Amino acid sequence: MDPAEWLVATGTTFLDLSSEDRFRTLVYLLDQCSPQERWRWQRELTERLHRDLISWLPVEIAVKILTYLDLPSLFSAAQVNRTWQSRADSHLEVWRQHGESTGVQTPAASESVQEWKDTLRAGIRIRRELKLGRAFEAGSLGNPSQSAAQFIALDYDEGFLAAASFDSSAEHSRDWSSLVLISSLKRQEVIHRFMLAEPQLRPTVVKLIMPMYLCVGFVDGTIHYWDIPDANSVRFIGHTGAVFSLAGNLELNLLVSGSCDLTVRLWNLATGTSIRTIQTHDNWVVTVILWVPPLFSGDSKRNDTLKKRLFTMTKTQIHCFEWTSEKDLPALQKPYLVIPLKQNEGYEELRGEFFTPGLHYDPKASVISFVRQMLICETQTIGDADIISVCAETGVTKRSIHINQKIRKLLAVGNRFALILLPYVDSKYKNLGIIDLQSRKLIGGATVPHSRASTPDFSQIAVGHPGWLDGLSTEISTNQDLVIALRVNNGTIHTLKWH
Amino acid sequence: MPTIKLQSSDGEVFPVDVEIAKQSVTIKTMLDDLGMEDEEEEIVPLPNVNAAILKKVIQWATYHKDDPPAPEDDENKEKRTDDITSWDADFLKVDQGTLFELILASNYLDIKGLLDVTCKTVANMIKGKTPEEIRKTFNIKNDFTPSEEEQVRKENEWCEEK
Repeated sequence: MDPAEWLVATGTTFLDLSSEDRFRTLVYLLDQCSPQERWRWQRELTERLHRDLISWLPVEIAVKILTYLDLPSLFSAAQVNRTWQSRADSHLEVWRQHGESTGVQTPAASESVQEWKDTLRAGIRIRRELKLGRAFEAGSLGNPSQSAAQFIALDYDEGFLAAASFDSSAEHSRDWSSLVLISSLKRQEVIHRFMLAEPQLRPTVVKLIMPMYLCVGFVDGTIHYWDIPDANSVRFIGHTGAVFSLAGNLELNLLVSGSCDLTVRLWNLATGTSIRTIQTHDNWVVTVILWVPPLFSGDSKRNDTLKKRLFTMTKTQIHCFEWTSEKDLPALQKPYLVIPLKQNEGYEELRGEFFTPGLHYDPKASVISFVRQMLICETQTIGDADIISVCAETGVTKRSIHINQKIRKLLAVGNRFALILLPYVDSKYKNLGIIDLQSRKLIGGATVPHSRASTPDFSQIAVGHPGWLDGLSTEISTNQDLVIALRVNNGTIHTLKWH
Repeated sequence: MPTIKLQSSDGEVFPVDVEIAKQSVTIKTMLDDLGMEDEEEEIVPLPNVNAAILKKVIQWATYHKDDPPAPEDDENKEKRTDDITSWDADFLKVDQGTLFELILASNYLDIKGLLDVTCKTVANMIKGKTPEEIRKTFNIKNDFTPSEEEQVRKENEWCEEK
């Protein structure tokens, strides 16, 4: 009989048997096999009874299955064998969604999956540390002036912290002392020290324009500017009330100041002459932001056709101005866009109490961010606020994140996270908060000492480089050391760095 | 309702409602492109799917004939695997071999809903397991040398306590 024919006939008979008889038949057949044949069956059977789906399926389906895994399972799957490892480690899409939910920087085109996995792990580690409150290390700059003077205004730029101090206890004696210090945070030492010419004047704001150019605004409306490399100093006289905010640009030779006299002034930085006084505001101007695009291209030819922008903030409105040529500046008058900070008209007096300072401009996305504090109703004692981002061209709202907190200041905001200061409760409450703008949740923070606002813009708080707010990465602790510095009531400066 | 005939790789013919068969993008394209819709006697040969699997696929497609189209994947969104309906879960209580064939068939026939749910089922078999437990589940040999294994373990260390 033909073996093939016999096999088909036997197979048909076999299928008609009961499952118990089939089992007995197979056992009988196996018993007839030689040891070598049984050995072969032992290997063959395990292969036949199990299927390594990931290795045997087409790569795109294996990858699809892996994208359904949570991170711990995915890390396990990558260790199973060489095939599983290569399915996981050569396909970025397997990991991408986890980067998105962790909030790490988007992978660079050149980045290998392995490199990006490191970024992802760093992001997870940072988030866990944030959650446990271990991400930051608190420090103090003490009071290097060794006097009763207290620091009342701070600013940070590229590793340097400027601090202006004033000795209010000596206000009625002859030993007034107000001075400004510039400290290197890396070297932990003071590198410049200025005694102010009129020590009875209380500084209200300091601004570092690149670390070696310093501006200080005073309570009487005057502004002092020091060009440290050229040992030059300039005074700006014109404001009739305290200066709350400063912004400057060396390439444009321009200084902008906002004051409680309701004006914004534009100055020639080198000579101190007034270029323009803007009188569109009906409240104290607490923030001015100047944005100048890189003016010099590769061939170092100055480009004067690029748009420059100025944003100002009062407790009721944000005004946006723009110009291209220096010649337009003296005529700069009307804002091209006015953004109201109030939402419910008719409650002006009430709302005025709940202004939250903090205005930020992201030139890449052309977005302005700020906080709109909600009205506190009788039933709501905690307070609510929205972190709002609007298009800087049209004023259209691009993102609005509701926070169940009363925010004292929007310190910084990035594409993914925002850094906020909340009211001080006690030494256990994290009053420095980090908001994940995607999940809209507070993901961690730190407790910083109570700091009373001495100016409407909280100019006694300085924020370090907040690049990490766009996305976490492995470089966070090495490159972006300062988180915030704030002046504490006892006169010292409290700093917070990445641990 | 018009029907078409689907023929499996081992020659068995299954009459199926056109609307049910059209959940397979492969069959839908074939019908649309070739204008086969009206010729009821036409047999669509499916050389990559055997009768046992084709039967299961038709069973699944019949149950899901009124489903809305499966949503497009968003690569940035965390994917869920806990949204398998109880009917699908029962339907997929099969041996790994059948599951494997069903994945291949739904991929070949381009039935997104079935591919999604079968892939999720495999993902659930992997989830929450250590590498050794995964190897046991799928009967996989560890082909790393001890030093490679150590290296791989370091690269994939999970830093958060589970």
